[in-house]
Amino acid sequence: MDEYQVIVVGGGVGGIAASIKLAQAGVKVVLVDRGSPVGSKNLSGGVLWGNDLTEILPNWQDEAPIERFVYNKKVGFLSENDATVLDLHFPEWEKKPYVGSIVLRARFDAWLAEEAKKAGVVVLEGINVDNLIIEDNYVRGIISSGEELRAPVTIIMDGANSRLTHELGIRKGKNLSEEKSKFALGVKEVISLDRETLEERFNLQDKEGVAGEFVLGNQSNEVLAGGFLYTNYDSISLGIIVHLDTLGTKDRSYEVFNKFKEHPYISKLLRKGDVLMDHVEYGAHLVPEGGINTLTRIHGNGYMVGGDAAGFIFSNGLVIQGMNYAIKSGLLAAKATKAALDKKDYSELSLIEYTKMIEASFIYKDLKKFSKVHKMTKNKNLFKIYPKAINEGLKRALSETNQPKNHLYKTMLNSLKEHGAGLFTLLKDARGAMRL
Amino acid sequence: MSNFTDMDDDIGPIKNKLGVLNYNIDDETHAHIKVNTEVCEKCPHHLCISGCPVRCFNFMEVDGEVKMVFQYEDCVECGTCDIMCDQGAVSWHNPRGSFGIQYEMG
Repeated sequence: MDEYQVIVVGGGVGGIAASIKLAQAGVKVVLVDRGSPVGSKNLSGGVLWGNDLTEILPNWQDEAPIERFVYNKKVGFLSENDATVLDLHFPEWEKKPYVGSIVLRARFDAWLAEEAKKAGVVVLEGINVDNLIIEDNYVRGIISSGEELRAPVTIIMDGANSRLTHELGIRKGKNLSEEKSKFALGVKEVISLDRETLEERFNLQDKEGVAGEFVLGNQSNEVLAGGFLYTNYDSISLGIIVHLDTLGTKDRSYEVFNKFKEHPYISKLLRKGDVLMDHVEYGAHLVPEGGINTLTRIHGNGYMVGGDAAGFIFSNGLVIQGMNYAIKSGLLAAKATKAALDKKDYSELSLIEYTKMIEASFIYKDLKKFSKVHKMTKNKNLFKIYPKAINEGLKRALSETNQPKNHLYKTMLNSLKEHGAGLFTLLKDARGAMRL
Repeated sequence: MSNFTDMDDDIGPIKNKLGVLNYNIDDETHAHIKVNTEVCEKCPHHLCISGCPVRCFNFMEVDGEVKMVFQYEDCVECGTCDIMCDQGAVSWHNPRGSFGIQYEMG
C-alpha cells in the first residue's frame, strides 16, 4: 500500500492548485518541487488573469501577496525612437473579482504552497525528480537521488522546460531542437521604483496597476519580439518575449531586452530625475507556445500532464496567458484523479476523463481557435513595417511643417506604402488580423 | 573553423547584471548541463550564444587556441540552449534539488 495516493510534480501555480484541490477532497497527496523554498525556481511576466483559484481559495485576491490589480492596459507600437501607445481604461476592471492580478512568482507561489500545507498537502521542497517509475506501461511514481516514491497517480506539471514529458516520449518533436518554432524566451528585469513615484507616474491609487504590452519594431535583423511592462507595488517588471526561431547568429536575447529597455518611451518610465533606477532581479523563462501541438497525449496509464509542460499557453499578441491555464488544468487533473481513485482504476481509459474535461474547457477551445494565430503574431510586417509606418504617419499628420496638409488617412496610407505595406499587403494582413 | 562572431562581444554588462542574483552553486562534478565543446567547433551557427540570456557560452582563447567554453554557474535554468543546439552538444538536466538559481521575486 502506497503512503500517498497522488504525487504532484512541480510547485508552480498549476501543480499547487491541483494538490490543494485533492487535499480538500480528502486525498493523501504529496507535492514535489525542486525549488527550496517552493517558488524560488518560478518566473513569469507576470499577470495572473482570471479568477480560477476561487474554486479552492475563495478569498485569494484578498489574502495572497498580489503586487497590484490591472486596471489600466496599454498596447504600444515602438519603432526606433517613436511610440504610439493605446491607453485602455475599463472601470469594471477596478471592481472585484479583479480580472488581472500582477504577481511576483517567487512570493506568490511560496504563499500558495503554504496554503497547500494548511490544506493537508505534504510539500517536499528542494527535491528534483530525476526519473519516473515506469512499470508494465504504467507510471507508478518518481525517483529522486536513487530513492523511490510511489503512488497510483502522478500529476506532471514540471513546467515549460519539462524533462518528464521527454522521458515519457509524448512530445511531438523528436528532440528539443526540432521544437524551436514552438518556443519563445522571456527575459525580464525587476526594476526598483519607490511606491510614491510609481503611483504618481502611472496615476495609480491603492492596489491599482498597469499592464503594458508592446510590439517591438526597433529590433535588428529578423528578430521578432514583444515587450511587457507591469507595475508591482514598489517596482516594475519589464521584459521581452522573443521567438527563438527568429534569433540569428549575430543576435543576443539579452540585447533584445536592452533595446526595449533603452527605448525613449520605456526608459523615461524607469527614471527618477536623471537617474535610471537599478534592477533588483534579472531572469529568464521559456514560453511554450506550442499549444495543442505540444504533446501527442496529455494522459496515460497512471499519469496526467498540465500547465506549461503541456504547452497550455495562450498568446495573440495583445495578451499572453499561462498561469490561468495551468491552474485550470491542475484543477481538472485533480477532479479526474479523484474519480479514478474512487473507481480504483488508474488506467488511461479511466484518466481519459481528464483529456475530455480539458477538451470541454476554455483551455482547449481557446488554444484550438487560436492555433493559427502565430501566422499573425509571427507575421514580420507586424513588427518590421507597422510600428514604423504608424509612428511615422501619425507624426507627419500631427507635426506642423509649413507644408500643405493631407487628409489623415492619406498620410497614413502613404506612410504604410513607403514602409513596405501597399494595398495588397494591407488587405492580406487585415485578413490575418482576424485570427487575433 | 567556423566564424567566431562573438569574440568581439563585450560580455561585461550582461555578466555585471547577474550580480544581484542568488545561486546555490553545486560542485562541478554535478554540473547540470554538460556541453561537448568539440562539437561546437564544427557548428555553423552557435545559436546557443544567441539564445542564452546569461551568456554561459563563450569562445575564449585557451592556450593560444580559440575554444568554446561553457560555464554552468551563471545558468538560470531556462532550457534555451537545449532548444537552440541542434548539433547534439548540449546535455541538459535539472540541477540537484535546491541547487542552482534562487529567485526572490521571479
